[in-house]
Amino acid sequence: MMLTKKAGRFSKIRQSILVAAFLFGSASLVAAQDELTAGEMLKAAMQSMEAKRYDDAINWMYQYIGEVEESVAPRVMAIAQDIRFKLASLLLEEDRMDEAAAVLQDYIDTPLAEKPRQAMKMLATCYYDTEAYEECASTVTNALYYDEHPVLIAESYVADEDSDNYEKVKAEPEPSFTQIELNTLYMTLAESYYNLKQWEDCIAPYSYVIEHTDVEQRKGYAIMQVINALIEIPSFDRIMEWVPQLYRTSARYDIRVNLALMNAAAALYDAGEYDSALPLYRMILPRDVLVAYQEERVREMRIAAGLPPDEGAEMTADELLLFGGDEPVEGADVAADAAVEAEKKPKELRELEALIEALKNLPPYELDIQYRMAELYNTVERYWEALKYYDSVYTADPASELGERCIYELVDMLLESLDEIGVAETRSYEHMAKFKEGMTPRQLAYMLTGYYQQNEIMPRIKTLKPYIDEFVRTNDSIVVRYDSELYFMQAVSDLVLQDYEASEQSFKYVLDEFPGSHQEANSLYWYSMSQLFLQKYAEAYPNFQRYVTEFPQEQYVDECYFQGGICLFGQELYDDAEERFTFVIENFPDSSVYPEARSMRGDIYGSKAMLDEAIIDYDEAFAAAQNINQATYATFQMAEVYEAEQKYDDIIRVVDRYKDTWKEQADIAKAIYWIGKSQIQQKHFDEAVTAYLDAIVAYGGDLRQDGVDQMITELVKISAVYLNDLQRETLVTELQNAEAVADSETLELRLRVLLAKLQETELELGKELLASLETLDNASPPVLATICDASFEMEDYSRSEELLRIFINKFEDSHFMRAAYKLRGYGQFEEKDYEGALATINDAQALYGTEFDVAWAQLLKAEVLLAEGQIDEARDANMSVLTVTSWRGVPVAQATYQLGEVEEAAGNLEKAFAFYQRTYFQYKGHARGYWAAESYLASAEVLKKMGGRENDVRNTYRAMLFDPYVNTLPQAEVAREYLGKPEVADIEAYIETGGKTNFVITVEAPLTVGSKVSSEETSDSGMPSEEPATEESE
Amino acid sequence: MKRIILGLIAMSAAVVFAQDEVTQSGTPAVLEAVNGKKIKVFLQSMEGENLTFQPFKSTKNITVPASKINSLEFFPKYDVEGVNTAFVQGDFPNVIEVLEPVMSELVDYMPIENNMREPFVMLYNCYRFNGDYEKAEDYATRFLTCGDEELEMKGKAGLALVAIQKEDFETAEKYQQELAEQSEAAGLYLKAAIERAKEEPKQAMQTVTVIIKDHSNDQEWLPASELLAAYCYLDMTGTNSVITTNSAMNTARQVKNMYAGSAVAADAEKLWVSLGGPEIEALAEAERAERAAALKAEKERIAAEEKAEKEAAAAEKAAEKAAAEAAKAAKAAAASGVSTTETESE
Repeated sequence: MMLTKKAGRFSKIRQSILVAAFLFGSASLVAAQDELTAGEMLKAAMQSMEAKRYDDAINWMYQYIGEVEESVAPRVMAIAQDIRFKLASLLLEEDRMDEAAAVLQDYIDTPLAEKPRQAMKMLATCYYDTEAYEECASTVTNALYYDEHPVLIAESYVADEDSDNYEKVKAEPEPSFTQIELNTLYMTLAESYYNLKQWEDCIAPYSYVIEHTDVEQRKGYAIMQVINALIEIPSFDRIMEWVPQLYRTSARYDIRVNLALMNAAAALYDAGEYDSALPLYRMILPRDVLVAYQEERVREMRIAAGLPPDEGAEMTADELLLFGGDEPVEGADVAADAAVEAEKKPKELRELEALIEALKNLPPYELDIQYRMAELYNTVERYWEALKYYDSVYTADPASELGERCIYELVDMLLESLDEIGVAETRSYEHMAKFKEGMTPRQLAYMLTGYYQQNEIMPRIKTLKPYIDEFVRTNDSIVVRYDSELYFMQAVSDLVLQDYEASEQSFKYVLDEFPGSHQEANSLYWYSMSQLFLQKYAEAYPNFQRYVTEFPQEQYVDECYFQGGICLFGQELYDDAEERFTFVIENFPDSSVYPEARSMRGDIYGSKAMLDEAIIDYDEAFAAAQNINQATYATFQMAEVYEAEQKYDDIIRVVDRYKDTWKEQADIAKAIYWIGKSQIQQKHFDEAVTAYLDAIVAYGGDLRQDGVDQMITELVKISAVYLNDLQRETLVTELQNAEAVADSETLELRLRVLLAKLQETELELGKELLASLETLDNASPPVLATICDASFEMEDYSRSEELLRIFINKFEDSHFMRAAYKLRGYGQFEEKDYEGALATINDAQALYGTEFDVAWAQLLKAEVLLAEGQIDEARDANMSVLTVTSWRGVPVAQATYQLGEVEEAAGNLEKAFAFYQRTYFQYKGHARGYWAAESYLASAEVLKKMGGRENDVRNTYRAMLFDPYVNTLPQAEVAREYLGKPEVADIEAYIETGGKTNFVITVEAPLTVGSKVSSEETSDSGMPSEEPATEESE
Repeated sequence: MKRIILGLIAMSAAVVFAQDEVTQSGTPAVLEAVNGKKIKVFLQSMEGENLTFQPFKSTKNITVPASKINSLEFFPKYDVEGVNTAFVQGDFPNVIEVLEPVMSELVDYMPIENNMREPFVMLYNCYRFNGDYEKAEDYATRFLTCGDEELEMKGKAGLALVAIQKEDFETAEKYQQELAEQSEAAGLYLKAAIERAKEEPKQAMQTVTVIIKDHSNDQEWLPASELLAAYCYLDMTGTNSVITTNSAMNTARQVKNMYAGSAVAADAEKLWVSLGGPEIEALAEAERAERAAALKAEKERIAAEEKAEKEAAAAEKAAEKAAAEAAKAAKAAAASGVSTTETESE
């Protein structure tokens, strides 16, 4: 049907051509045709052909065929067929495809065609060149069928009708298609199907070509087309069987194949067919390689066509000899040469040159291909390969969009997929230092920040700050968003690093620099929290209030109300705080701060002695607790209240409930501690000791069980207060047995410390541990504290920083940490790191306030200030010690002595003397006479400085030697030396007789604190009237 | 001299064919002289640089320098296709069983170009993969004497790989350095193999990436390098918790697919299977099918809804139309003074 239809079309064409020939043809032709016979027309056609007047020849042939078309005479028919074939050949030569197709169709359809195969082949070419693909496919199919099943009617027909012409017709039958012709036909068929988008149909003919052609280019092209068809079907799983074949052909150097490879690879990539896309991408050759290869081919083709190897170049004599060539034409100009050359260029050469030109005009594609490959490797988790390609693209063009994408992907992969933080940092820092504009440096900083956060390496976040500060700021909303986020994260890192002063400033920076940013609400909250951590309650409160006013829908509203309450509490505005916590309790019953608000209000009620109300709140807090900390706090606060009320059964009840509710999450050791404590109060000492001992052994191996450490303290107290010698011995034995079988170093160390505390050998143990422990990883707080105490005693501050860091990092809530602060503070003072020492002191005081065993902090502060020459501040610091009730005793003695030092440094020698004298008068019993002894010596020195008081100096030393609290101390040797042996011998002899002294040195000086020291303050014996205080008496 | 020898070969052949049939021993082959002439011969021995043969139907031994011979064609009797299949399937003992007796007869003649060099190399690989390093080493050493650059490279690589297996890194590195001068890709491959053997998979991986990037079309060394990459990823799962077996599995899968029909692909497939590749692929396929089914169902549902909507709209429109027509009719009836009831009754 197809052929008939087509034939019809071309019949019309032919008729119209004939008509045209008649109407518009040369007058001679028109005139002649009436006169010429068919034979003459044929002769005219042949003559025109010989004369290379092809148009005339064609016209004569048309006329001849028209003349004899109706003839059935075999001879005439045979000649007409021969002319048709010739005519078709001429038309093809003249590129008149439509006409050629019509003539060929007639030729094929008419009997006595000698070359039907050739005709069909030519017809297929006509159809293909005119893009009549359906007709082309039919023609080729017919041709191939005919080749297998040739029709031999012509021969028999001629033999029957006209035996005279038998010989001519009986000429050699047309040979079958050669393999090359078959390849061409199959290729034409495949291409037709391809152009018709009959993807599945085209694969078989392409496959035929691939299997049979020896031309690698053609084979490669066919494979590529098969791959394209399979992509279109789509049938990705069949693609891989073709790719290796393509690899092995030189078609890889074909420009069209490379362009097709790009498209095919991209299509496969987009379809997620990575395994298929990868080898295709790999095969795509760089443009330079491709151009060089094809230009070499052009040279070869030019040589084959008899042209100079290079266009426009004149051939050398050697080249002429080698490659041949036309003789140079005298006077021929360049344009004419070019025209001649263009004329001589084969079609294939022209096409190839055009392709090379097109390739050269393409934008660079190599980096894009490499980027795609990197993406592809990344997608299939071949990270190292991806890294290589990203790096390659980035290195080639770091400033381009592609380069920026690559550095982003590269860093992302190094962080997320390869965990190569070091390399990621190096690459990011390099880029950020060089490129300070746009998104990419910000994205890198953001990624690194995220990584540091996720991996809890917060200090590294701060290393990004210098780079972020250098970024060029713009008004671009995304850039601003990134900047605000980056600075916000900087502030968060300050916060996490507990550098609250820095975080306060950093969050303020975000609020000031990026008003209205997406992090404004969060920044405000954490800005307020930073102030809260700094105990700047008054400053934090309005900021929390601002949050709830400006961001009532944001996530921290309930928190802000609650933290506002904490601020009020911190300002000791308890009624307001109570009101605020009540507000939170009533308005946010589902909030995470609800249990905490309950506990806080419970604490307020507790402080107001409203114990029942407190218990209700704690009970509610426990019931609503969303995490173990909230439950733990509420439970043990209840225990505290019940302890105050001596309701030990209730303690046991709430602690048991706590254990039952929170099971393995519960702080069991602490629970046992409280139960044990209750048992002690109920006089169940044995049970309490057993419970503690069992719990220490059971949980002592866990470093984080601070309840065990509390039990150690408690057990020491029980032993000292409630146990008899036998019970104490039994306890020690049991502990020793437990230590012998301890299965962890942590437990063993805890047991050793407990034993040392019971046996009062802590100092020795501390020294031993200091020398023997290679690592402190398994040391719990009491062990660390023992080591701290021993170090302090030995004035060995070498590990002070490490010890404090361990506490801060691992046991920040431990009450044993104060020993580490003390060691560290004195260590810094020793190193003259006064700023550091003051910071340590501030931290310790922030944590422990004026607890009795933290007086050292205030005393050291005074010492540091004095060392820094801050006289007034040092005086104030010492004075403040005297006002704290819990610091009565040794701290006051030391403070008084230190006040003497302050005044001495200020040049107020009389005042200094007065403080020293007061120290040895009033506090000689403290610290085993240490401060008194120091004061005697200091007094003597002050007197020496005053001058002219040699007798007073000697009397001071004499008094020191008569003073039983100090005369055996090492400091007394100074006095002995000064006085000389004879007098010292007299004094000792006098003391042996029971004699007392009445040496009183009087120096008038006003004292700012305490009573005036004068000679009146003496007893009958000449000693101060007030009995000196002793540690024991206090 | 050359002319004399060639003439001698030709003359001997002529003489031999003129003679009566004789019983001959040796290895049958067709010898092609450097001048292109071919004769049927029975090879007797190869000693040093000299080949001794008997022309067909002659018992006379002729000795000629190997340099005067272009090639030899052997006629081994074994199932070539079967052996190739067994090799790409990794059935190395089977290949050895078949090829060993064949090659033992031919191995001495390998220095002369011939049609059995591919099985010659194959047998080496089988020995190595099978852990028979002594024989592998012996074969690889023979490669070096064949006067063929490609074979020489294979020999050096082979000796290096055997040395790596024996953890003789000094020897391996020596060959690696020599090979690097001849082929960068080969040198890099061995470098990576040595690094991997030294339990430095990350370093090995980085070396492999250079091959993949800079020699992406090297069909000789790229497949093995990519397979090595798969093993490096596998090694890394032991040392770097970030790398999962997915990387090794995906790499093995790609090698299996890209180099299908090769021994490397067979090895890659084994690795892929051992890492649970088929199960994961089946799972992914099932998920894809499930998604496709869900998508189809969704499309059908939407289409059904649209159809129902259209039908409802059409029905509504028809109802409206009917109502309008009824109204029109009623109006017309009213105008004509005939009631609807009357019309109906009529």
